Amino acid sequence: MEHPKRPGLKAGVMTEFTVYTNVKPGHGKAVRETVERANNDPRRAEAIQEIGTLHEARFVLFDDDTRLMFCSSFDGSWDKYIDDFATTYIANVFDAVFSHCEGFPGIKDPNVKDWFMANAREAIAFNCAYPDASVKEIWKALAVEKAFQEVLDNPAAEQALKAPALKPLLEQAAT
Amino acid sequence: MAAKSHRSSTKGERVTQGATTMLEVNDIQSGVLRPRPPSYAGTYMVFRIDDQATGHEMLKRLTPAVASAADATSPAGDAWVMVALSYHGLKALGVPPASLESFSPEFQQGMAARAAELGDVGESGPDHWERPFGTSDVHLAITAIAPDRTRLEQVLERARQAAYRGMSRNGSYVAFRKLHQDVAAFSRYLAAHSTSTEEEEWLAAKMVGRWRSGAPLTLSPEHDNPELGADPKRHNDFLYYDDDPKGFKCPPGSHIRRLNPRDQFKHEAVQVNRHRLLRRGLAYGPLLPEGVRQDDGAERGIFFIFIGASLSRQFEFVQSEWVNQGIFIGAPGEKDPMSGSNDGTGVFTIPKQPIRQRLQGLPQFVTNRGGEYFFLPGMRALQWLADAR
Repeated sequence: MEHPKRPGLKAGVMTEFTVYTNVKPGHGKAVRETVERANNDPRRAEAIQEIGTLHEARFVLFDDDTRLMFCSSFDGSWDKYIDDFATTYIANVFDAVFSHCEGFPGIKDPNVKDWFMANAREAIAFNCAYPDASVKEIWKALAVEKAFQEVLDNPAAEQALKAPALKPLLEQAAT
Repeated sequence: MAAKSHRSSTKGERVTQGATTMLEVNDIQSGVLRPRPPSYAGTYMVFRIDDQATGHEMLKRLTPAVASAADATSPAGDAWVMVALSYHGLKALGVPPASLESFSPEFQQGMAARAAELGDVGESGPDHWERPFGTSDVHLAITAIAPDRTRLEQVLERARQAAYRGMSRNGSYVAFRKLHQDVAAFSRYLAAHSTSTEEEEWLAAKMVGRWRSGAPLTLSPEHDNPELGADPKRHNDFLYYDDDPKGFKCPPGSHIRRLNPRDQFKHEAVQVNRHRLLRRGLAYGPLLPEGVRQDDGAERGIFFIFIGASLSRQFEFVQSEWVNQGIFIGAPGEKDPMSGSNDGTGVFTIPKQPIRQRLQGLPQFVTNRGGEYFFLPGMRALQWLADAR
């Protein structure tokens, strides 16, 4: 028995994952409202923090709100962790949004992975400006940059950065 | 176990979350629930079943030797015997196709087919495995463990004299791997990256997450504590999130913290309790004498035995996501410094104040010499398999 191939092109540590679904007739407005409500929920940022591997994700309604696209890119492979997410806030959002789509069995249904697989379409090209950086590394890099700017704002920085060991940092300090 | 959720919990071990389910212990093979004795003699054997009727006969003779987990005065006394069957083994016993198809895809494919997923590449690749591993000839495996050689022999003698409906109930999946450990290479690596014996011990402890005695770094960060290491009530009684969030005591990339991150991700979506491993491994081969840095050519390592409800969610997940990758700890390029499939360019970061230490050029210390996926039936299912005609 073969494992079904995972959809999604890779770019470094990142994978892209996109599903296209048919919205149930007359449910376009409900999809829009559900997504907007989730977007304004203060738990949204926290949920993305909890996932820790999601670079970006979007919902797009098209064809007169009869079809819905969910498009995302994240670190690693989605199917490994998808079951872990079943109890999270994000899973509730997915459940609420896709319940307006045809054939969706419900996020807790054991066949939900198959439904996503069946509706997923792999990209024919996937490019990223930073393919080797994971979400957690980018967070760390941003924290280091913030700390570095703090150092530069200190009047003692110029003298301190002249230490030979700090040469690579001094080279980054001029701009 | 396939039908019942289960948590292995030794006395004193803190568990993180979730509810406990009552286990039908009298239907579970004894070795699943009992850890091996502190000192032990053990062995494993693999068989091919050429003839269905002979296979049934063999199982019939084996079944009484497999002690029930509930039975304190089991026929095996302090020893235990486990009997497990591979997909090809179940097929050879004439298990009907409908039952065979109910097993998970990984189990049906067998371990060799999963090599890429498991990082079994290069020297660990199925092409290099010791035969019969990686072939369709591995049908039935017997593992026996006893406190000493005499009692092991007694158990084996008993075993020698002695390999649809709800067959998965109280059964478990097993991942078996013969892992060769290049102890001399490990020792050389430590020496090349240390300036004293103390530092070598410290480095080794950082890579493993425990000192030589088994004392965990989280509870004894500065030096070994043999008393703690020997105390089963305390040596697993620790968590990471509050006690060691940054890994200054036990590095996030160390062997034990990768294999079981405990509560480290309690504010993340990943559910660590869904990826726990119950292990029943046995060491094999002579110890490499202290201070020896050249390989003596002896075969040594561990028979890694995983037991669980799901090969993909537990064993394969941990192997591919946590052992051979580091995305989850923010270091995608780093692998388990002990058992990861490093190739001489491995990296391991040791958080340390004021400045982290980073080891480079890690080679592969552990090679998979072969393995297979098995199914460990419950006692009733074992009986049923033996009786089936």
